[in-house]
This record gives sequence, structure tokens and C-alpha cells, in this order.
Amino acid sequence: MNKQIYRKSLVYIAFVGPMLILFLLFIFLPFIRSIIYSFQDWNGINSHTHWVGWKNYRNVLTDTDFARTISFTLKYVLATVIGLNVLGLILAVALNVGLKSRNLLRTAFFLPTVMGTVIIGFIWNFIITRLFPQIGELTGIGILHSSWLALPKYAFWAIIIVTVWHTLGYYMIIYLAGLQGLSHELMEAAEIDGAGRIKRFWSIVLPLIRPSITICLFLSIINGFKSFDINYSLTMGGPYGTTESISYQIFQDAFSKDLFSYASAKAVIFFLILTLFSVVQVAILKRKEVEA
Amino acid sequence: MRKKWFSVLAVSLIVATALTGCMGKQSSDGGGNANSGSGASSSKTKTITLKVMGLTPKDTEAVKTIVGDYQAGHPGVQVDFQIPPDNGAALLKTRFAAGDAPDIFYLSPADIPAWSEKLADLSNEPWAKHVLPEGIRNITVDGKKLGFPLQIEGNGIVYNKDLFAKAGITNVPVTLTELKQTAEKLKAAGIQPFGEAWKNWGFLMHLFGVTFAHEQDENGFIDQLNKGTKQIKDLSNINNFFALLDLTDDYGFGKDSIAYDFTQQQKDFASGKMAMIKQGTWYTAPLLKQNPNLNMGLFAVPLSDNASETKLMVASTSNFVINKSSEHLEESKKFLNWLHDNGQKYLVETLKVAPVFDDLNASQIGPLHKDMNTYIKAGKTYDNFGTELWPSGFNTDISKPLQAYIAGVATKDQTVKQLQDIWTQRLNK
Repeated sequence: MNKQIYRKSLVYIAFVGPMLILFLLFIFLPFIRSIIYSFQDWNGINSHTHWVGWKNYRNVLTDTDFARTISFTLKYVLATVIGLNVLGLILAVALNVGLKSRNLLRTAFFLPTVMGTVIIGFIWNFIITRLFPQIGELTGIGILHSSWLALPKYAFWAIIIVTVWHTLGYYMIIYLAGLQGLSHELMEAAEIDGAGRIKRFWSIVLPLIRPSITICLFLSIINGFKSFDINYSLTMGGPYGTTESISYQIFQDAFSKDLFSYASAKAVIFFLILTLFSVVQVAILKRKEVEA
Repeated sequence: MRKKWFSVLAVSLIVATALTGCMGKQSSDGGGNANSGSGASSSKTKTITLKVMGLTPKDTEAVKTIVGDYQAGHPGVQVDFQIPPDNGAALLKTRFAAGDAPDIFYLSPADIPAWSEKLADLSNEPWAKHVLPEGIRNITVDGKKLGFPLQIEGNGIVYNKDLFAKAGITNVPVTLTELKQTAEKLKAAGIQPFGEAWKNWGFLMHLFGVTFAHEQDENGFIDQLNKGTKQIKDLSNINNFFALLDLTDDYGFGKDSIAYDFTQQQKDFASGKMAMIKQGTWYTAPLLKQNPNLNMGLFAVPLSDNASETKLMVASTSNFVINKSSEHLEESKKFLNWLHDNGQKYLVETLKVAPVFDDLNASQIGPLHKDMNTYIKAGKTYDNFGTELWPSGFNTDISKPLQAYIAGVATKDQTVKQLQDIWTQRLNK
């Protein structure tokens, strides 16, 4: 009996161990280091550092730039979460019916997801600054005439459009998988009972794909908060810093401005915000899932 | 039963390899110095590896040639030359933090003071006495020469000579008023005068730097800024700076200039879309690549109406430095000496940079360098870009208020105040 327990735990260790070690080395240790840095005055270069207590945190809290990036990031998360999940679900439903070209369409919608974000940023940079005005001229659509990346309001939507276009396929696939797992019997029973298409969707399909909704919401929220590369390659945080995401600003502080400790303090605060959001969100959605 | 044991054994083997793999890396990182020290004494035919980091991806071919030739002439020395793909500063800090610091690396003048405690003193190297006066200031910290200046660059206004001729302009402007008249003439001839890429913070930094370079006692002024006895608004040409910025936009892309970047600018200027851009000699290669027949020149930025103040900013902009605690300090110095001794071949012909040494000659690089040399010969130069003594982070941060000013959401006074706030903040952090 004892031997078996021993053997079992050996198997556990064998499977969990490697991942745990990697996690400790590459995530946990750097995390602890950045907490330590956030109480020091390291600039990323010096060999000597001093403890400065809460000074970095006090400075972060009075930093208007940081407040602005937080509000930008929140707006960005809200817009992308709605865009990605609503459009992703609509696409999934549309491509779940017996269309002849559906495999081709699924591939087409998924394709942007496999492209590198930086490349996408540069391509869209070209499309927005060069192509939009030309399309505007041809079609007479006034909105395309303005220089999108020069105006904060438009630059914001430019980032949203590119992000949604880029990652939509990923969420579509998750919803599609959820839809294909639905049992036909339930749908048939509902149809016989006289439920129309819309009624069936709201009362049967939606509650049953709740696990997909949970995971899609979770992923889109976390990815939204961590957004970095599109900001880097499409707008460079501009015009005048209005599209700087939190991650982008932390990167800039640490590596371009030689404020390593200050950036670490921001990163720790960012971590707390992120934890709060994910815990609350998972708690709410998980509860609903069980009820359904 | 047997099978089960086998799989358990296999998995634990994998874990063990993974573990030792990680630990091995750790120990070699930690004890790197001790190991190679004992290794060096035990084997006679040692091969040392010089770790060099710097330059930009366009130099890849040139670096291959240089490294190949150096290794051929120096048996026993391997040169491991890494060209950072994009953000060199991030990579450099990462390599230092990981205990994989390069022996020779690459710093811009503004970064040398911050890194100075890590750098070897190169004042007594044979090439040090040949450094041109325009290159000395940027490599000197506390009287010690810490850098091997790689290239000298001229910072001014690049113009299209054909378009100037078309508009009937014969002389380049030397005062701000003349610059405006020039722009008027170009506009009257149906040519777009300016086309600035204010999306890139680096160019806004250059433009604001002009204001500092024009200051009579620049070092003294910056000292007073740091002490708080003077402010940004006390810069003698601060109003002219905004006049110049307005000029580049009123006669250029206007508000849209903050969405316009350097790749578009290079393409448009090379194809003759506009006549002037606030740039410098660093644009030679990309412009000539787009249009080999581009007939262009370089003139000093006229910031005021005092023509005697209009001088070209010429300074060394990138430097090789040596890591003080490198294991191969002497070998690293030898490499730089060799680079200087063969500078005509490798710096001028292979890397195509204008060297900062009086015993080398670089008039053949391009039209912009030719104009720069004319300014140098006439003694009409500032020996810096005005940006080198700013507190770190000031250069990137000021792009935001300046872009906001260009977009028209902030007034001149608000912008000046914000610039001052950033200076104060950057000093305190």
C-alpha cells in the first residue's frame, strides 16, 4: 500500500516537476526580483543600489501619465472584449451552418491570428496612412480623409480595429468548438416544442456554451490588459502618448528611460490590478456556469 | 508491472536531465570568471572570444567582412559580433543582468554618463590623440575619454537642390526670416517646402536640441536648469524654436505630421515630394537607396535672425566603449586600435561612416557629408546636438507635449511648462 502511494507521488512529481521548475525559474523568481527592485533606486545599469522604501510607489500614484495609460488600457479592454466576443460568436454561429465554403471561410478568418503582431502593425500602418485616404478620395467617405494616426480618437479606434481583426479568429474557433459540442437531441426537442431560432439561441445555445464564454472572456480580458505589440508597431503610443498601454509604458520606462525601479513599481501595481480583475471575473462566471 | 516501472524511470530521467540542464546553466553563469581564469593558465594555445555588440542591421555585411579579416589576422581570437535587431538598449541591459556582458559595446553619447562607471578609460590609446575636436566632448566624462567615436554626423536641414533651383533659390537661408522666405518661394512654385516626421520622437528630440546647442553657455545653462535657478522658458531661443516648429508644419503636413514617420518621409523626399526635411547625414544611405540620382545638400538650421549663430551641429553620435571588467581588456583595446589603424578601409569603405579621426579622410561618402565637411573647414560648427546633457528619459518624454502642441490641443505656454515639468521630474526620479 505504502509502496503504491510512493509510486503515485513519484508519477505526480515526474509530471508536475518540470513545469514547476520552469515556472519558478522564469516566472516566480523574476516576479520576486521585480518586487525587490520596486523598493530600490536601480536604473538598470549601476552596480550600486539603495533602498528607497515606498518612494517609487508614491511617485507612481501621482504620475498623470500612468493614470492616463490605465484609463486608456481600461477603455481598450472594454472595446476589444465586446468586439472580439460579440463578433467572434456571430462568426462562429454563421460558420456553424452548412455553408459550402465554410471551411475556406474559417481558414480565412483564422489566418490573421497566425501572423506576427509586429508585421501586422506595420502593414496596417501602411493601410491606414496610405490606403485609407485613397479609398476616401474614391468613395467620398469623409472619415477616411483624416489622418487616423494623428488624432487620438481615431488612433484609438485604429488600434481596436487592428486588434479585433487580428485575434478574432482565435475566439471564433473556441466558440465554434463549443457550438459543435451541443447535443442535437436538445435542439430537436426545443424545435418540436415550438421554439423559434432566436428563442433557441438565447435559451439553449447560450447557456450551454457558457464554458466557452468563460474562457473567451477571460482570455480577451487578460490579453487586452497585456496589449503591447500593436501599440509598439502601429502607433508607438502616439499621438502624444494617448495610445500607450500599461505594458508599453513599463517597457519604455525600464529600457528607454533608465527608470528600472520605477517601472518595477508600475509592474507590481499592474499585477495587482490584473489579479483583481481575473479573480472577480472567474468567480462570477464560474458561479453562473454551475447554475446552468 | 515492468512496463510501469519503465515509464516511471523514463519520466524521472527526463526530469533529471531537465534539472541538471538548468543547474548546469546556473553554475556556469555564476562561476564564469573562475572557470575561464583557470582554463587560460592550463592550456597554452588558448582561443579567446571577444564579445562585441553594436551597430544596426544594415551593417550586417560590413561586420562580416571586418570580423572575418580580423580573425584571419589574429589567430586565437574569435570575435562574436552581435548586431541588436531593434532596441539595443534593452538587449544591452539584459546581457549585463544575465552575466553575459559584452567586452565591447555601443553607446550613444547621451548614454555614456549613465554607463561611465562600467567603462574602461581609453585616454591613453594610440588613436585618442587623433580624435577630431567635434568628437571629443561626447566621449569625455570627468576628463577621461571613455569611447571610441565611430562616426561623426551633421545635423541640419536636408534639401533637394533641384527643387530649390526650380523655385529660383540660389542661396541656402541663414536666418529664420530667410528660411520663411525660402518656404514661401517654394510654395509659390507649387512645391511643398517641408515634410516632417514628427511621429518619431527622435526627430523632435533633434529639433528641440537645436535650441540648446544655440545657447551661448550651454553647459552653464544646463547646470542652472538642474539647480532650478533657470527654467526651460529662459532658453534664449525658446520663442524661435516654436516659430521654427510652426514653420515646418505650416509649410508641411500640419497636424498630420504627428502621424507621419521616417519610412514615409524617406520615400517621399527621395521622390521629390518636398524640398526640405530637418534631418542629417544619417539619411544619406536610405535616400540614395530610394533614388540614386537625388541631388541633395545639407545646411545649418537657422534658429534666429543672427546669421553668425547659424552653424551646423556636428558631433560623434555613436561610440564603441569597453567594459571595464572585461576578461579580455587588452584584447578589446587591440581590436579598437586595429579598427583605427585600418580605418580608411573598414570605417570609410566598408562601414561607410564619416570617421572622427584627423588621420582619415571621408569626403567620398555622399553629398551630405561633402556639405558637412565644408562647414567643418569653415569652422562653423557646434560640437554637439544639444541633447547629450539632458537627464535620461527627457528625450523620449518631450515628444508627447510637443506632439500635443502640433496637434493644437496645447498652447505654447502650456507646452513650455510641461517641458519644464518633465525636466524636473526626470531629475528627481
